[in-house]
Amino acid sequence: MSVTSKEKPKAAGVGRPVSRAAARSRRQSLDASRRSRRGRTPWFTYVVLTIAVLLALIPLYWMFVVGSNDSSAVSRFPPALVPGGNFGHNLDVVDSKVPFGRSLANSAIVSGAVAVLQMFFCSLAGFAFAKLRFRGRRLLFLMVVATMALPSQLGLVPMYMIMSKLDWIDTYWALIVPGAVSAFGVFWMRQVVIGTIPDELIDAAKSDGCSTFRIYRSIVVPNIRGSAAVFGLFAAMTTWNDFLWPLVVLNTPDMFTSQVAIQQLRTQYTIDYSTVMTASVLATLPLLLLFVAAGKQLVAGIMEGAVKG
Amino acid sequence: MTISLAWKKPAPRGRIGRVSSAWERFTPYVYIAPFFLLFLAFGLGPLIFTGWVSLHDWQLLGGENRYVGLQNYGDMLSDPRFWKALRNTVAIFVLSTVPGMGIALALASMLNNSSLRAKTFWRMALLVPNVTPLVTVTLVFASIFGRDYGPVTWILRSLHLPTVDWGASAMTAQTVIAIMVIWRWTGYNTLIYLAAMQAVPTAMYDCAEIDGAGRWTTFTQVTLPMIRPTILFTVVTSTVGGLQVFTEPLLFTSPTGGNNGQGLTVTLLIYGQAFNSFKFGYASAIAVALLFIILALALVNYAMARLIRSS
Amino acid sequence: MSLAITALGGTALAACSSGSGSSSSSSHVTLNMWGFADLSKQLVKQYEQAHPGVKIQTKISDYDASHQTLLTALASGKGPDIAQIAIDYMGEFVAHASVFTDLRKLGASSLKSQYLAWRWNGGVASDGSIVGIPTDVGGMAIAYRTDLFAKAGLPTDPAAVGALWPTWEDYVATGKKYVAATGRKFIDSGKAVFRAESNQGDLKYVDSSGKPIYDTNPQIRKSWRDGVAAIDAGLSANVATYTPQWDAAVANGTVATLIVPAWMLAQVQQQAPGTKGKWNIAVLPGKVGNDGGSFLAIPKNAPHAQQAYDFIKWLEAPAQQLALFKESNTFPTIPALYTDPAVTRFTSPFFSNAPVGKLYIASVQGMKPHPVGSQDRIVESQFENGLGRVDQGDQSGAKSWSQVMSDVKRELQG
Repeated sequence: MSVTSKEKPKAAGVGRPVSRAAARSRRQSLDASRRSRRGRTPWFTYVVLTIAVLLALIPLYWMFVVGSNDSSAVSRFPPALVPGGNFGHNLDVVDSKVPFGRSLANSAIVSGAVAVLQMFFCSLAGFAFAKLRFRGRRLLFLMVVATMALPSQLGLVPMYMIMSKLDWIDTYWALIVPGAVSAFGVFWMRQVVIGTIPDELIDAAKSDGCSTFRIYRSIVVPNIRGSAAVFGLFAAMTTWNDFLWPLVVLNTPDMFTSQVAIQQLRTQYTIDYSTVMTASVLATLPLLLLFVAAGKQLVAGIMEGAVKG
Repeated sequence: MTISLAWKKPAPRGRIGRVSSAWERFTPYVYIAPFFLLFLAFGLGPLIFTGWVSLHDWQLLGGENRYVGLQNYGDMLSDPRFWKALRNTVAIFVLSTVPGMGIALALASMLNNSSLRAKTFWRMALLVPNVTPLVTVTLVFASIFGRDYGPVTWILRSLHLPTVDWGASAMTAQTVIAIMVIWRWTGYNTLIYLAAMQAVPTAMYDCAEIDGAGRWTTFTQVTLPMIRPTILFTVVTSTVGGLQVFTEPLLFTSPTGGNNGQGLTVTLLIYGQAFNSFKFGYASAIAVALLFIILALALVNYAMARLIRSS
Repeated sequence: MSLAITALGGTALAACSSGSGSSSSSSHVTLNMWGFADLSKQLVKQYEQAHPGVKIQTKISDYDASHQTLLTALASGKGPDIAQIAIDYMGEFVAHASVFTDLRKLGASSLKSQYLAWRWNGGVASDGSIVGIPTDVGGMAIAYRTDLFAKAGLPTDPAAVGALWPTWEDYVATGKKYVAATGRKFIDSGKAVFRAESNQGDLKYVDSSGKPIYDTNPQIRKSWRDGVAAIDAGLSANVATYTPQWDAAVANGTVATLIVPAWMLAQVQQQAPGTKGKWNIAVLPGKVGNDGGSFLAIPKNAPHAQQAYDFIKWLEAPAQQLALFKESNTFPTIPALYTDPAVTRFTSPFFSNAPVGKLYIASVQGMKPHPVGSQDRIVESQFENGLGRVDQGDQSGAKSWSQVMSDVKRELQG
């Protein structure tokens, strides 16, 4: 099988009769290179990855440096690069202004719920759009894609109106329910299902008399697990970082999510950068822990089978 | 790739089958119903509301909402701010999406190496920019690209090059904004590409090997075609997301996009018109226009990306 | 996963019953206050102890975000009990007085005489309804570096320095001398001059009937000219306030003077601790000025309007404004307090023991009330952008002025 399938093969080797000895030696060199391909990672790769990771992590590190010094560290040049001893003091300040631990819990609850709900609803809907035939499928999907393209800022006003009519202001519902569905999620999950599960399999299951739910549960779910997990992680991250909607819809300090809690650290007219950075470190920590915990699972999940041509 | 086939052959159909097949016709709707109800309320609802508002001179704080038909759209077409914002948005989009996807592909192919050590660390570290708090991102990038102090200025000075006031002109401000967007979102795309690359069977690489293909040829002739659907997917999502870029220009320039609107994007204009100038109807018209522009561009980009040779 | 759902369900149920805004039984009332500046914890505790059954909870956020949040809530007819609205934003909200409770109905007319006239007027709508009660003022003065002035051969005594610049032209001339002598910058930006001077007249962007006069008002034209003159004379360091670049410029002595309200002094102290004792404060040209301050308003459908009003009235009463001043140096808007020793004797060691209290109070007492238009903030930002362009070297003063005129015209129409 040639790779450049649509053209005449330029390299020698395919389509031409070949002696047995030549074939054997070619196979041996293939094995050798396969071994070397697998056993060696070029140093170049590590260099590039290190640079990329440094670029990714330095701002976070700097945040910690400022959070453990005082506010003037923000504008210092050359930039402050060494952590100071002020973190504990700043923690006390943060604690005295806002129930920060509680806000982390709120963020965790909301982000976790949204992630789970999105994984469920979006995979269900994605599966339906991908594999089930029903009238209006094209139109409905087009509408889903259209909502992806509408800037979300203006949606604040109608959403608040809905929440106020449902009397959900200042509740978890207001944060979780709108976040439970995501047009992007449906788009993604549909793509994953199309790419991962061949029609023939579904047809075979159907002709065996499987109910749709059976198909979903037994065929679809196990095979999109990896992508769904990645998607769930992204959903959790996005919800955790969201600050405009929670800011609008929450009232009680005990209900604040971490991003809203950080805002409460503003003093009259000035910003104590150092305290804000300390709080930001605290607010980011749970996500980092999530990365560490989920990372291994994710890597395994990704490798198990995802979007394919 | 193995697919788990974990079901038992059920009892033979009969009367049960007939009933269930009638039910089966409704199940697709049942499946999308929960999603669709929520979608109707929180996705489609605001969309329709925005469209409706765009046809009015809408007063957010009481007063009459006068129906004006397409006047808002007419005003928009003759508004130089709209065209400036559109130009800026497309410029930032091109500057950020094209290199961003390229970098993501490169990183993904480097991570797609079974002998790589500390796999989890590299992958998760690349996601950190996406969870770095915005206040930190603002301060860091403002400092790095600060006019008087800042590492970039320092480097330029030591190379005896003229220093740049990065926030001042359209080109430089948009470059920095594009860098911010690339920095923040590359990790996402990298993981998505990586997932796709890992699904490519090793046999394909073996065949490339046999044919004597080098690394680059393998990449363009094997990897890319095999992950083409994923690339198409990210092209569409990057177009949709990239044309709505909001936070980065807001943080790096100002709510008005800077002194001369150098960082003004369409979403920034929409937000400013709605919440600063209290022109909710006008802002809604711009939002609807943006929606169509995004859909059109997404289609165009999708068509262009399909030119990647398919396997 | 099932465990998570159960936990979620349980918490959700609990959340449904607990945090639903200003729920109240017959004697328990929770007042929601939204704003951009924190309330004094001490004062809140004091009030809650004196009024058992009343609880006050606040939600503060970024300056702009807090007003946008308020707008979003008011648009659906449901907002907080108390809204803190900045003086710059008040014009827009007062223009829509119908979404607020008219405080005359709760007896606010009797409070009018307590406060500075021009501050009180900012909270009154054109139909006479009282929308908000004033909180604090910022005042305006010039903080200058005594050590750098000495190096440039300028006087350092505050009275002498104040005498250097009775008018803004004199200020620019002094700046030129400084720049010639030291080669450094004199002020942070050209728009600082504009901001200060444009507030000093009888009129600003609209006349008393609400007609826009931004293009003809001589006060505005002159302020613009002086701002441009400062930039053209090389005085401006072109750094924007509230940025680390500004903090750095202040810390490094790149700028020798700052036209600042009282509350900005804290920023200088925080970001430039190394300059302690090197500053002093003098009167600004034109002698009067103000930046900052807010109003407390009660939205129309506030669940507990009466209790909210009682709290606001108490919070902004002379005794509490004085207490707040003592606690956090927030300047009162009550003239009766201006002779209180706590205010008149207030000095700042960081600023060479300058009589901060006296200076800033004097600057607000002479302020002439000018008509406030509902779109003043937007108009002002066009002017500031314009001076920013001149500062950057993008446009000449004249060209920038033309662009400002057309930008404002477009903002005001439709």
